[in-house]
Amino acid sequence: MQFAGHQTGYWRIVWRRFKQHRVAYAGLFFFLALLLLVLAGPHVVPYQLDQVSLSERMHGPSSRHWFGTDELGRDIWVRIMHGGRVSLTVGLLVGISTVLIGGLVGIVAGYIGGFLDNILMRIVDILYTIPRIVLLLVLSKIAGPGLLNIMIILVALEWTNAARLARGAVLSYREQEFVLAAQCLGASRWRVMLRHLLPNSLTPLIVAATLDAGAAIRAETTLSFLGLGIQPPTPSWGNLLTNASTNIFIAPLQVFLPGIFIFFALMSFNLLGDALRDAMDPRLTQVRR
Amino acid sequence: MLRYLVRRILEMVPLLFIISALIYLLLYLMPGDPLYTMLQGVPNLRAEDYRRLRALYGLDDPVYIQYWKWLWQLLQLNAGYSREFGQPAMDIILPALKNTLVLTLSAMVIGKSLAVLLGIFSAVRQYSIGDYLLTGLTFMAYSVPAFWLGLMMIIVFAVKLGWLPTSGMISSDVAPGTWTATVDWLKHLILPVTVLAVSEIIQVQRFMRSSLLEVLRQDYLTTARAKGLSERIVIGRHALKNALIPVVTIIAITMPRVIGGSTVVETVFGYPGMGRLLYTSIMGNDFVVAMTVVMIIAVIVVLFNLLADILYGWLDPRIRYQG
Repeated sequence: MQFAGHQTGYWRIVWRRFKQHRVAYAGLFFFLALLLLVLAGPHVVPYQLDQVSLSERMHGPSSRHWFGTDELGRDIWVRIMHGGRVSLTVGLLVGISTVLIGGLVGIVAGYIGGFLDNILMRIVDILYTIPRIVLLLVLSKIAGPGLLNIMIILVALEWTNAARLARGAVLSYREQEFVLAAQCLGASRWRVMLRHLLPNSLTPLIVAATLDAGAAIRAETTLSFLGLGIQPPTPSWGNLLTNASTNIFIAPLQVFLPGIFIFFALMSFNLLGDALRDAMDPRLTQVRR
Repeated sequence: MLRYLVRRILEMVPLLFIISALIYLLLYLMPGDPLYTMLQGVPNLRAEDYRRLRALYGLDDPVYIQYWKWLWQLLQLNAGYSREFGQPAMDIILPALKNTLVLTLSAMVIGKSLAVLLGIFSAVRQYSIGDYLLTGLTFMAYSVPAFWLGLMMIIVFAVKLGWLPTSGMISSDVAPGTWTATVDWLKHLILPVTVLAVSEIIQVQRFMRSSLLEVLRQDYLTTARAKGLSERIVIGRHALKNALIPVVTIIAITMPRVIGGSTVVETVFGYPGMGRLLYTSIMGNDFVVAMTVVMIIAVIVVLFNLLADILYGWLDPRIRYQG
């Protein structure tokens, strides 16, 4: 571990540059605020997720029901917070999984190269050529609704981004001395890939994870809105919107509320991804060091 | 260049072939009986009639035989018959394709030219308040989910203000062919085109900004300024020409995404285009229509990717293609 000092140095620089970035702070703030809200939100009001109250249908916001009630008298605040748990879970888990899978595929393809690389990159090409919405609709129809199915589909479609980035990074490091040194010392293929190439490819992968998480939330809410993702009675920001849009003339606020949460979630991930990309760019680090 | 073009077009054939086989298999795997809608109106149908119909339509054949038959028919420009609509698939798809092209191309032209202008402004006024404001605004526009933006616009402009229609493409009470009908049609287009254009601004705006900033640093612009040319001519004539090259390519590449985005927008606004047709045909197990729509979209995507490559080489004489 003689390189440990160097590594912490890099991460300390990243953190310092990240802190200087006001935009990054805004992204982090939005994200943590949303996380806190959806975790604590349902517990601060005395209503259950599916607590129907037929005497309080379609009420506007009040001190009893902060966001009002829906057509069955259910508390909208509670439903949006629970929906947020679902949507944020999808975003976080899909973001992490796409990078684990895509990163591994990209590193293997870039390092081993040849036939394997060719096949993998053709698969990526084909996935890029078919519009995402087509595959999303068809696959979710085949797999059927459900949280796990949606996440599997999103990972299956979105690993390509991370794979391309990891492959690109590996191609640029493959011929460098530190890899040659490791090979000469008898390191196995897997050791070279996991111990030497993976840490060096982390920068684009972390950015990809953040942006993929945002893309996953966008895709999940879109699918749920179209009736193919998370199905009621389980709430998601997407299907809450579908439900509210049937009452668009009487209760426009119910359409506004779930959407503004989706907006802040997408905004926070996009801001974070953008700021991390700036903070982790080694070229910028060297200039300002 | 010609050899390059021929090679690229020949490369498209296997790509489209693989895509068609993949999508055919996926659609085949979708749950639901393709004969279901057709049989709903026939209550006294016997089980053996049902079996005869399945055999007649070749639904009992293995999937690869069905695929070959479908492909062979498509190559003769016969897309098949929609059991859902009771019409030849092409009779349904072609009008929808026209509507979608109107929608997406208007959104492209408006969104992208606005993005280019905003990008130029941001680059010329780098680090000014306007630049920061624009960057923030386009970022927000990008983070807004399209279906929600559409619904909010319906609430504001159709429900509250009553300026524009909520959905569809033509009002039922307007006589076709008149001036009023044209105005009515344009009114129906405003909201979907806006929603579709908004989310497409950021990429081109950012690209334009960084591309122009890069060009502005180059020596030949210092020369132009040293000759005493006004800033207007330096940027408008000398810098823009080079800065626009990568931007044009990016614009061509994003066309498929606009078509994909139109699925959601058309569904929200009830606009009778191909995106909505894709959605309804997949939801309603209308296999023939879904398959043809996907193939048309795939062809458009591949063609626009090729167009992007050709434009790049044509605009930038420094790039030469090898056959």
